[in-house]
Amino acid sequence: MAEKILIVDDEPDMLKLLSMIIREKTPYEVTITNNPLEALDIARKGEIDLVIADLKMPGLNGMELLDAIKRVVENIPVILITAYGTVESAAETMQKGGFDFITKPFRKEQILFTIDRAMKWIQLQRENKMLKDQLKSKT
Amino acid sequence: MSFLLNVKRLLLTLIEKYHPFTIKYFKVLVVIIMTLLLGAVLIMGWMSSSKVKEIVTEDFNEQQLLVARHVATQIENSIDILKRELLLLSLSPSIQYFEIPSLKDRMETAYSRIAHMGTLEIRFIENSTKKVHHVIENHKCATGDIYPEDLDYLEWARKEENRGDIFLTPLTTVSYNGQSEKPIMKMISPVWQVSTDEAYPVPLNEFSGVLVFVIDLSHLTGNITKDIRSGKTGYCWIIDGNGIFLYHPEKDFVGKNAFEVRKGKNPAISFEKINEIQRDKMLKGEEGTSWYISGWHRGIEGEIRKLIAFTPFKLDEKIQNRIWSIAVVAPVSEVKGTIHSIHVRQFYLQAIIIFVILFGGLFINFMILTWSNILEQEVAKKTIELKKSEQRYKSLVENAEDIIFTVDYKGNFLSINKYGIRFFNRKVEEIVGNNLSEILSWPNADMLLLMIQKVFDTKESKQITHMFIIGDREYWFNTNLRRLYDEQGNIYAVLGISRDITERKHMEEYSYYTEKLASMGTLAAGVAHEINNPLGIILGFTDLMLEKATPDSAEYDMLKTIEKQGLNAKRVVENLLDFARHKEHKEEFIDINENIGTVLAVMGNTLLLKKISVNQNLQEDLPSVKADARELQQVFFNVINNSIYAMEGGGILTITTRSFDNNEKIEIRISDTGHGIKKEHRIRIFDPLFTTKEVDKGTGLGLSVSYGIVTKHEGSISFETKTKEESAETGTTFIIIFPAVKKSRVENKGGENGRKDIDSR
Repeated sequence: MAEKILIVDDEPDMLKLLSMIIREKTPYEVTITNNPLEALDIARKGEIDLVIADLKMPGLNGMELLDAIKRVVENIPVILITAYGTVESAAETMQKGGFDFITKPFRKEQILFTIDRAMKWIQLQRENKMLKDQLKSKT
Repeated sequence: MSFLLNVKRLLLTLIEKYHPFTIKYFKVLVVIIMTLLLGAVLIMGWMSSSKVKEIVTEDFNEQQLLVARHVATQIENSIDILKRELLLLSLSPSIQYFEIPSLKDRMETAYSRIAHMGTLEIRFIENSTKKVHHVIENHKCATGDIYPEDLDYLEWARKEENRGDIFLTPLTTVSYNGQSEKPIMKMISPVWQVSTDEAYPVPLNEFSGVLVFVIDLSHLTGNITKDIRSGKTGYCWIIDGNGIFLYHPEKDFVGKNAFEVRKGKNPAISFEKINEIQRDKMLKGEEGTSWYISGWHRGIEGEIRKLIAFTPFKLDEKIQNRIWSIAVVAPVSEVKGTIHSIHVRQFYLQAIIIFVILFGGLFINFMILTWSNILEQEVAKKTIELKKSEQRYKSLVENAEDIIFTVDYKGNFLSINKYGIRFFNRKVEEIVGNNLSEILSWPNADMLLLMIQKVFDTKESKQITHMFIIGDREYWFNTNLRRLYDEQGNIYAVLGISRDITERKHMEEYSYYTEKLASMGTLAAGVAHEINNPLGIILGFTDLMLEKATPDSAEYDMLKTIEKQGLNAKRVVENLLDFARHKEHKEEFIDINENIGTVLAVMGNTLLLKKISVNQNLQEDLPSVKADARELQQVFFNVINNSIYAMEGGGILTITTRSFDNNEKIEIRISDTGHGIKKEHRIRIFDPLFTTKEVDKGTGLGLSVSYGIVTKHEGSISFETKTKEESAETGTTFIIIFPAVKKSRVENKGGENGRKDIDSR
C-alpha cells in the first residue's frame, strides 16, 4: 500500500505541478486540496502519511495548519513551502515540529529529496513502533 | 503748542550743549554758586554788622538822650525847689517885717536847706533902709551894705507888675569869695508885706524889699550830673544859651565859652562838628543825637569819636536865650563792647555758614568727583563691554560660515566678511566698491540685483535660493536680504546673509533619493515574492517537460530557452530581494583590506583578461569594521565590476583605504580610468534596475544592492566622475565610508567570547 501525500496550496497550478512531480517520480499516492480547512479534515481521517503545505494561504496559513494537524494527528511529517528569504518563518516551522521547509522557486530534485527523507523517517517511525509493540506482546 | 515745542527743543539743545554731567561746567557752576553765596554771606554780614552798629549806636544814643532828659528834669526840679524856697522865704513875716533876729534865723535856715544845691548866698535887701542881710557858707547871717546892682533889683521888684514874679539874672561869671570863677545866676524875688504875724495881724501890703539867691550853677548842675555815667565813662555837660559851660567834668571849662575853650585846650583838633551841633541844634533849643570828634575823655588825650545826645532845658519860656542844653556824651568805644559781642556771635554764625557753604561745595565737588569717577568707570566698563560686544559681533560676522555683505541700491558692495572673500577668492578691494555683476556671472548677478532693489523699494525682507557659479562649480545659496537704516531712519544699504546650501541641496536630493530607493526596495520585494510563485511553477513544468522531450528536438530547444529565461528571471528576483535586505545578515569584525584582497583574488583572472592593472594603497593597521563580510565583498565586487566595465580596452584600477576622523571612520576609494559616468546617468546610477550595460550583461541591481548594503552598515557611498567632455583625464572614483570600530573595543571584545556576544545580539 502506497503512502499517501496530502498537498495543500491555494494555487491550483502549483498543486498540479507538485502532484505531477510526485506521481511521475514516486510511487506515492497524492491527494490535493486548495482549501486548508478541508486539508485538516482529510488529515483527521488518518489516511495521510505526509503533508506538503504552502506557507502563505488565505483562511488558514501553513503555520496554523501545521499547528492544527499536530494537534489532531500524531507523528505526521509536514513539509512547508516558503517564499524565498522568509528565513524567520522557516525557523519557526522547525520549532513548531515541521519536518522541513523548501523555498520557492524550487527545483524538483529538492522536493523529491525532501519527500524521500520524510518517507524514510516515517518508515523508521513505523519500524520503531512495531518493535515496541513486539516487545510489549512478548512481555 | 508749537511755542512749547520750540521751548522744549531749545531746552534740550541747551541741556545737550551744557550737559549737567559735563563735569567742567558743573564744577564752574558750583564754584560760582559758592563764590556768590560766600559773597552774599560776607556782604550780609557786613551790612548786618553796620546795621547792628547803627542800631546799637542809636540805641546807646537814645539811652544817652533819656539820661539827658532825666538830667533836664532834675535841673528843672532843682530850679523849682529853689524857686519855691525863694517864694517861701519871701512869704516869711520875719523877712517882710524885718524882724530881727527871727529874720536872720529864717535866712540861715533857708540857706542851710538849699546850700547843697549850689546856693552861694541868700541876700535880702531892705527897701526902706537899703540894708542888706546875707547868709553865706559857714557864716551867720550878717548885715552889710548894699551893692550897686542891688539897687537895680530893688527898682525891678518895686514894680507892681513884677509882684509875685521871680527874675533870673543872666549868667555871670564871678570869682566868688576868692574862689575860681563860677557861673553865677541870681534868683530875684520881690518881698511884699503880705503875711501876718503877732506883730502885724493885718498885712501892711507895702513893698518890703528884694530877696536874692545867688546860685552857683556849676554846683547846682554838677550835683545832678557829676555822677551821671553814660556807659562806663560817658559824662554829661551843660551849656547855656550863650554857649557857656555850666558844667563840664573838665573843671577848667566851667564858665568858659564852649566854642573857644576846646580850641584853646587842643588847637590840633578840629571841633567843627561839635561846634556845628552846638550852634545849629543845641543853642536853638533842639533835641537830638549825633557824634563828634573830641580831643579828650576823662584824662585821655587824643582824637576820640564820641556819641552825643542833647536835650534843651528852658529856664524861662518868656525870654529868649534862656535855654540850656544838656549833653550826654560817651566815646564810641562804649558801644564797642556790645557791638563786639554781637560781632563775635555774628562772626561765629558767619563762620558756620561759610563752613557749611565751603563744606557743601567741597562735598558737592567730592560727589561730582565720585560721580564722575563712577561715571568714568561705568563708561570704561561700558566701553569695554561695547568693544567686546563689537568684537563679538565682528568675530561673529567675520567667522560666520555665511557670506555676509552689504550693498547699495546700484548693487555695489559696501562690505563683505572673510568667508565671502574666501569664497569668491578675491581681495577685499576687488570686491568692496565693485558691482555685483563684476563678481558674479550673469544671470545670477541680475537676479540678485533685482531682488536687492525690490528690498530697497518694498521695505520687505526677502529670502531667495539661488545659484552661484564659481569656476566650473555650482554653489547653491540661500540669501536673506534685509534693509539697514541709518540714524535718520533712511535706508542706506541692504544686508545680505548668504548661506551655502550646496551640501544641503545635495543632501536633500540624496535623502529624496534614499527614500525613493527604500520605497522601490519594498516594492521590489513585494514584486519578487509575487513573481516567485509563477516562476516556480513555470520552471517546474519546464523541468518536467524537458525530461519528456527528445534532446535534439526543436521542442527541447524551446523548453531550454524557457528554462534559461526563467532562471534569468529568478536571478533578478533573488538580486531584488537582496537589495530589499531580506537576506540573512551576520555581522562580525572584519578587516577591509583583507576583504578587498579576497575580491581582487577572485577577479584576478578577469582583470588580467581586460588588461587592467591594479594599484593598492591600503593603509596598514586599518581599524576594523563591524559588518557582514560576504555582503561587503559583494559591494566591492559590484563596484570593481562596474570599473572593469568602464575601462574597456584596459586601464588602471586604484584602490585606496584610509582611516580618518581620529580613526573613527574608514574610507575606501575605488578609482578607474574609464570613460566616466555621463551627466544624465549620474542621478540614476543607484536606482535598481538601472543599467547602461547590454540587456543580458547586467541586471541594473549591482550598485543599488551595494547601496543597500552600505547604508545598512551605517556607511555611505558616493562617487566622483569625469567624462571626456569635462576633463582630459576621465574616470570614476567610488568613495565608500564605514564607521570604524574602536581598536580598544575590538581588543577587549576579541576572542571567542567577544564574538559570541556580538553574534547573539
